[in-house]
Amino acid sequence: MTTQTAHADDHHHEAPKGLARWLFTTNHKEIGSLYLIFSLAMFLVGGAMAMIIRAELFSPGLQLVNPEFFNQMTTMHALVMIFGAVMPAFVGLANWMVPMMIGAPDMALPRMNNWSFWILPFAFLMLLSTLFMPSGAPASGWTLYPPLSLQGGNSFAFVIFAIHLMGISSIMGAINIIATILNMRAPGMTLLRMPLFVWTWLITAFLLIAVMPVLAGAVTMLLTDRFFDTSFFNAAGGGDPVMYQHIFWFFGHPEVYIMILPAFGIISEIIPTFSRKPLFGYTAMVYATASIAFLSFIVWAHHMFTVGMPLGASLFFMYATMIIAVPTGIKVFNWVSTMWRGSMTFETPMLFAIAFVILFTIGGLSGVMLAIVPADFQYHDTYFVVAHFHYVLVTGAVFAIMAAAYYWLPKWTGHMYDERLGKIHFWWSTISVNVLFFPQHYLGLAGMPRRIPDYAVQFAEFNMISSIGGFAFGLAQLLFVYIVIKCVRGGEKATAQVWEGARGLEWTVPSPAPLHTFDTPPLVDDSLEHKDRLPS
Amino acid sequence: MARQDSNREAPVTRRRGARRTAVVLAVIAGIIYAAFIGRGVFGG
Repeated sequence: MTTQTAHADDHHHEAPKGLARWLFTTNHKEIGSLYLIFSLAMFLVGGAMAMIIRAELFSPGLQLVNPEFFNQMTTMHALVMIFGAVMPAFVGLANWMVPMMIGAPDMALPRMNNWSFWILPFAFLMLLSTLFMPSGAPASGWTLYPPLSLQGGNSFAFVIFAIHLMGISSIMGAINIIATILNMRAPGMTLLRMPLFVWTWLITAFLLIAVMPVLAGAVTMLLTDRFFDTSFFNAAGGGDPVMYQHIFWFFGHPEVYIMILPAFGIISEIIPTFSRKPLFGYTAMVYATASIAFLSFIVWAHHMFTVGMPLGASLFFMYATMIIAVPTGIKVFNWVSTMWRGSMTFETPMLFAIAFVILFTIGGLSGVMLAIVPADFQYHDTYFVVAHFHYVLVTGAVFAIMAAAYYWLPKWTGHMYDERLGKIHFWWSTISVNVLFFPQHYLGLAGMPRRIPDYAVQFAEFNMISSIGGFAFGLAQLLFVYIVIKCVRGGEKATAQVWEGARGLEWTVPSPAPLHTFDTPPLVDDSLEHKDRLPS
Repeated sequence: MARQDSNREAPVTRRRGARRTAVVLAVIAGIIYAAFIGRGVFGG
């Protein structure tokens, strides 16, 4: 795709300086940077909690922390990583890249964009402050199932309020992204000419608007049950605790796709660039993304097979879940087909993208295993589930975020990152993450339950191996932080196109991207759509 | 690089379209929130 006008400019006006600049900014690039920095900080906080968990599980018996604190760690690790690290990282990437990819000067609603971000630090301060309260942080798992979650202390009110704030932030961010994509595209940028990352974010934003209010509704009812004597989920008062599980997972399963669809978009940008070929099956990729989003609404009860439900319902949710493998398989085959006979090179973003395709598929396959009702009765609430969703979320979502960071860092900073260190980070992370999570499949199949601080001695060896992998993976991420800081501070100058095979509007502006881009909308040329990616 | 308070104006029609989109989506989010609490209040 080429442009007839790739306009970028700087205007010289009085600018707020220091803290005020960041507090009051309405610029999509600055807000994108804020989201990404926040996400990295939360990734380190959530990672520190993971280190505590793996240190405790290094050997059987109670070693370092008491069981109550261990449960707080598993709960907070999940909440921080999901709502603080992965989701804000994708929103940050969307803020930076979506306007540039569609030729818009900024997000459609810049002041709301500022609000969307600045709510988040307060939400997480509130959430993390519960660790220092007398009744402690939530310890019932991130799902906050009643009646267990209602047995905590008064700090629970802070948790609920924090979740509400995160939800408001996500909904405002999603509204902004949809409004931007539907109203701000450059002339000639038709829907089916948009980059896949924009498409996946458009669909993700609709998912967010559909399900974040469901989570808000569920936790509001928890709040009134805990503090205002209602009985939504209290069986003694005529309520139904299972209803909470249905409502929570009606949010929770689409939430899983909220965390993976933008990752699909990132991989669909990176693989064509480093294969020097157009994406294979672009339209099929769009429809597959929409299909996955639709299916995500009708599979929620596969998280609760062991709760018990009519046989017909079990069968429906089992088969509906398995059907998701079809559009997901389309994507995996299309990525492989894009690489097939491409002129491939293996820079760090491409390495992370290829690792994503392989390792996410492992997570997908264990997902199909979990969808089988009778098998799930065996696997439910074991470490097999922990292994499954960490393959999807760490080697899936987090690896895609790493790939995106390496891919777009030169565009953001104007400098190339250190490729040698990037490759070391990749191999260190990829080897250690498999040492960390692969043994957990076996632990689960052998019967080790999740969310326990102590375990039977027959699980000792695999837990020790997993913990060693965990420490190594954690250490590797400190190298990532160093690489990012080094790249921001200097390095080889990046060109506008950065990567030889890169195509799209974002690569037509200089590196680093000026604060304002596309003040004059570019004209997207119809005639060269995709053709310029064909290998010469 | 010069910086400025950056609320650059988009063309008026596009801003109106964006606001309309935003209001519709916010109303939908509100209805979903109310519907699920309603399910809790009135559900069996």
